[in-house]
Amino acid sequence: MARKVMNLIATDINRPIGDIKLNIDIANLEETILGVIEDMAPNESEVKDKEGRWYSVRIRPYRTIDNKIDGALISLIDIDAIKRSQTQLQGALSYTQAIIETMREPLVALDGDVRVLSANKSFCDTFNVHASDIKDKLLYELGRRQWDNPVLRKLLGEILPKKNYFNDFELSFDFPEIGQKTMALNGRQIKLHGKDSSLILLVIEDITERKKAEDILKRDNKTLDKMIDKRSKELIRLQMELVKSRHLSAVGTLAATVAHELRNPLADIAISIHRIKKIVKDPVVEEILTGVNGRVLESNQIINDILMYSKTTIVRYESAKINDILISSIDEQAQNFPIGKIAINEKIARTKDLIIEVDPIRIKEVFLNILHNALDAVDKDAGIIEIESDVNDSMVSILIKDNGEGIAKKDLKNITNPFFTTKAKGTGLGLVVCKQVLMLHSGSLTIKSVEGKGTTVTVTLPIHKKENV
Amino acid sequence: MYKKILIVDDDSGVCNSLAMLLREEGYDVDATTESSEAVVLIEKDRYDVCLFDYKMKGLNGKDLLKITKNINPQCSVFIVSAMFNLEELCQKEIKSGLATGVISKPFDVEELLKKIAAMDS
Repeated sequence: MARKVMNLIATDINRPIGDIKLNIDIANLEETILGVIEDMAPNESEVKDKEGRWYSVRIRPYRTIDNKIDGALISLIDIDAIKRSQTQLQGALSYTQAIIETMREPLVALDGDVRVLSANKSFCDTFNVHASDIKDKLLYELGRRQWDNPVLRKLLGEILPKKNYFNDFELSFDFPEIGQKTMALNGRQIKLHGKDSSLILLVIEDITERKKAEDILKRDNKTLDKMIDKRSKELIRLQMELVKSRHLSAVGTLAATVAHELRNPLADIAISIHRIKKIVKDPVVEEILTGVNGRVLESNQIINDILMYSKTTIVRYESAKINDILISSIDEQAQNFPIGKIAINEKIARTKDLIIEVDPIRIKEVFLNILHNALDAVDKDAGIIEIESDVNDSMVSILIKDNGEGIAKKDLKNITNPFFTTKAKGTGLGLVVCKQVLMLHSGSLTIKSVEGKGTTVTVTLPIHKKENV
Repeated sequence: MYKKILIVDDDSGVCNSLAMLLREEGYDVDATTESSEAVVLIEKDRYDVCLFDYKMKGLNGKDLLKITKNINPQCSVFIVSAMFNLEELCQKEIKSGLATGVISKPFDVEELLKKIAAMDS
């Protein structure tokens, strides 16, 4: 084989090796051989032949039987196959290395004892370390022991050896400049063939943003649920108000019809009483008839009250200046009521020139009523009534504050109950009807009071009319 | 001269009682429950005072008011009614003086008689 590989022929024997043109490219062959003989030490190298096959070349000193160095022995071993696979392996390794280095996720390789073997660039950048600094260190010792987590210890120590992998283990890290970050870890254990040791690969993903988004979503969902719940409740409440309002409207129409119809018979009775009085000149009869007439008038008053109550279901919208309505109510009340030393302070500059869509007659009646109550409640000598107005994009609010006797807590709840009473107060409307009028305008009336201190009535109205379907 | 009075009210009870009352006071009274008949009467006779109910089938009180005033501007016309917001409804007519007045039912009989007596014949 030497003949073939080195291109030797029979006639080459006894020729100097330097003179022979060999197939194999061994650098400085003569020198190397002489060196081996002189140093009495073997020399090994790897060489390629002209066809590119790899050989391991060994040059050993040749010992004679008397142990004298008498030359050199060159042996060639065909390592082509091995070399090829080595190259392949090298290639594969480079490839793998490139993948690991190009990977955007941090990756760290650990040995079976959880000591760092290597880490990719991403890992070093993320955790701000040098690969050389962390090599051979226990993972748990790294970065102020942030990796030292009992669950992670269990995963790496117990679970991996059995299951070979784990996914999506979440771990929080506190970075000095960046702050808190949440990472998801995937781990894999590779048992190395022929060795008892294993290789652990940890791939890390920064899920801080994802977690934040998840939390926001969860929170938003909760908020959304709350909003939906609130809106649903509001919707139900509005529907019930609408039903109530419609019902009141129906009752109102009925009441109006009944009241109207009753007036004719009453008129007839009244006329008849008068005629009887004229015909029968008897004092007893006269007395009786006077009594009957009284009942007629009483009946008529009841009808008036009913009609007042029912009338308020009809709202006739007009564009009007709210301040005009207020001032008109104040002036009228001041005329009809002995004001005395009661101070009425107007703080209505904010709604100067503000025009709103309301039924001015109804709303005036509301203010007249509230003012009447306030004037009634305060001390004639030291009473103070404040009328304050405010406005925003869609609503105007008017507060009527008095420093009068106030309303007891237990009465406060009932004062605006839609409980029909024939004993209407003030100008014929009670707070019951005031609230109804405001409700029909899609406004509101609220009363705050402290017994002995005073009362504040707040009226709100939309600037533009809201059509009730 | 006795005053001539026309009463128009679709409630027969009121219509009758009012007519009787005013006759007993000495007035010359015509009364009807039909507004259509009222028109005929208005065109035929000259009345000094008219009492028209507001709400009626067919022509209502205001309509009759206009017709009467066209034919006889001197007539004193009162709108008598059970309507709650009578004054509001007849605002224009009261303001312009077309209607002499409005009277709510049930009325004070004495007051009504005084008003009618006060009208010039």
